[in-house]
Amino acid sequence: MARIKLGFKFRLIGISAGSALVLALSFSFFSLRQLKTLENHVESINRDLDIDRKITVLQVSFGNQTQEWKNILLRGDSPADYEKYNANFEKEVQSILDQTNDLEKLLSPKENELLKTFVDEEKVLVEKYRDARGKFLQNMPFSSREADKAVRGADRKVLDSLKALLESRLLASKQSQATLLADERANAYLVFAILAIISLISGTAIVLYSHSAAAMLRSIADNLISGAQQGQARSSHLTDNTQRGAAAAAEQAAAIQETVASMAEMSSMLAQTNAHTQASLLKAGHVSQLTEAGSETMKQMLASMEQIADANSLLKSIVKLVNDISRKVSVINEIAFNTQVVSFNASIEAARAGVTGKGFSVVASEVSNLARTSGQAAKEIQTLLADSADRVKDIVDQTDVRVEAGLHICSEASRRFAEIKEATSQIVSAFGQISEATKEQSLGIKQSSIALDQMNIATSSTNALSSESARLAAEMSREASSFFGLSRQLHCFLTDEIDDGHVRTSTPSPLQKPHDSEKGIGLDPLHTPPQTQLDDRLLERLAERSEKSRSPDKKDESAA
Amino acid sequence: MIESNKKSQQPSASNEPELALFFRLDSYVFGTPLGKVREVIPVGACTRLPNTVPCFLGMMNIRGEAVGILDLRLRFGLPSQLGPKCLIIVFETDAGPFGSLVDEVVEVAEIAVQSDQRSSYVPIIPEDYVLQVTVRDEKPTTIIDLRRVLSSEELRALRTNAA
Repeated sequence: MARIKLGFKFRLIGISAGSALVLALSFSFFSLRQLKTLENHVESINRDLDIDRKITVLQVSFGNQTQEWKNILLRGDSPADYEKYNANFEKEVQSILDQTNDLEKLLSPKENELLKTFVDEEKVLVEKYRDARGKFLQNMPFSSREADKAVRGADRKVLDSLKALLESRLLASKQSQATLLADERANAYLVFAILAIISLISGTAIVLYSHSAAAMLRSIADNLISGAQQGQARSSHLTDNTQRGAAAAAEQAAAIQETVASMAEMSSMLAQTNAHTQASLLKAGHVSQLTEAGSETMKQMLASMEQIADANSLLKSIVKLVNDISRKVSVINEIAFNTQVVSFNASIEAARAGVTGKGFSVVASEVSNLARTSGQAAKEIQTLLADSADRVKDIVDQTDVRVEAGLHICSEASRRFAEIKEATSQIVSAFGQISEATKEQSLGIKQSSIALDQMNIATSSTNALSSESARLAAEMSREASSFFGLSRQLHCFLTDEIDDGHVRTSTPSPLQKPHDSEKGIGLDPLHTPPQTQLDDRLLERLAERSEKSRSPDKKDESAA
Repeated sequence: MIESNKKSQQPSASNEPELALFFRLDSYVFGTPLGKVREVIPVGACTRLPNTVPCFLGMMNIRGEAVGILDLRLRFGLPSQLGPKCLIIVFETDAGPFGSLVDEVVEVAEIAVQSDQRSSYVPIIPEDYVLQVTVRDEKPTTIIDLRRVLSSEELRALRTNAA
């Protein structure tokens, strides 16, 4: 600071200021004294004026006395009027006497002589009046004219003496005024002289002081410049921040809109799901019906299987029949065999008979052939029958097995159908639950959409806020730069430097120290949006974010 | 040699083709001259005799006459087997009627006049029993003399035992 450097100047300033003070004090004492003399003067003037007034009143009273006298003479025809005017006259006389007594105390001796002559003359006059009045009363032929005649010219002397008094008073007052004027003029010169001295001293002091003040101002201007620089930097930073904030808010808004869109998509998907679920429910119901029909069909099939089993048992009886036939055929076969044996024996007998048995031999041979043929046929039939029986038996067995398997399968299928039915009913109930859940989900999504809409509104308001803040920050930046320019101008003005752009930097003044109570939100007094809870929260979050990303004194700068 | 001579003499004497009863043993078909065959009967209950050869099944009652029955399968070294078409051929011997159990009686037919083809055929039976070898259904068929199947000593012993 320039304080140490300016010590000498300050000393000079102190000396000059002290002398000026002493002078001013002495001047004030002098002025007080002057005031007192002035007061005396004023008092004497007042006294003179009082005396003059009293003299004038005396004059008037004298005039009145004369008037009353004339009233007595002119209007005192009746005793009542006479008494009245006479009393007035006497009163006037008495008042004149009183006034002269008063004046006597105030007047100078010389003037008192004049007053005394006036009083004497007055007394003489009054005596004359009384005399004339007495005469006027005693003998009525004594007319008013005579009475008047008796006192005519008597008042002249009195008036003259009064005039003399007045003149002497006038003279005296003129003299006193002249002395007063001379006095005042002298005083005025003195005052002027003193004031000139004081102004000389104080002017010197002011020059010296202004020098030091300029130095101080210069330092202040430096501080201002540095402050303005910092302010500029911070405000530009703030601008950046607010722009970033605005961008973030815009991003947020975009994200929210995206979310809204995806929510809508989700909602539509849910609606689709719901529709599908409903369709599936319908289908599941259909499946349930089909399953029931299938179950019914299976029952019918079971019945058919049982009928097939019955038919198979009938087939078994056919096998028995075939076996019976086979038995009968074997009897035929036996007969054929025996026939053949008989034919052999016949042949033997024919051979023994020799030539005579020749024809019988042929017959026997034929019988043998027939028997063999019939035996073979019987055998074939038997074979066929056995084959048929076997086949039928096979068929019956297979059918048995198959019917059993079919019955098993049928019962299994029936059971499965029952299971399917139960599963279907479970599916139906599950679908119902899904549908219910989907509805609830859809409701939730609707609510979420509403909340998102609100959020969107809040975000847009935040966005508006941010852009407003950005605008304000930019403005502030401009103002900071202009402030900076002004500061520099001041600096240049104070230092007579050419603006070379070099500015001394110094630590920020206490004014620039951050106050933490200020929040970033408070920087926008122009824009006060409808504050909801959501808004508050959003703003707080925004502020927190900006707080996190930047040093804490930024917003104070902006607040400052 | 002597039998063959006899055989050749008999057909020439009657000047007629000789008849034979053809029967089956296992897969072999044999013939026997019809002249010595008394009858063909179904298998009946046989009463076994002690102290006889295994191929001798025992005695069978045929219309009140006891006839010895021989299992030809066993006699010719084949395993004993009683099929459904089994028959007993009863023939006359010097010692009385005798029955042989065969698997099947095929037919009564004439023996084709053929040269002895014994040299080209080796039968499963002893040569003593063979009368001749003829051709039947394009197959060589052996004509055997059932009376010789059991030696006379045997037969006599049997007869005496039966008696």
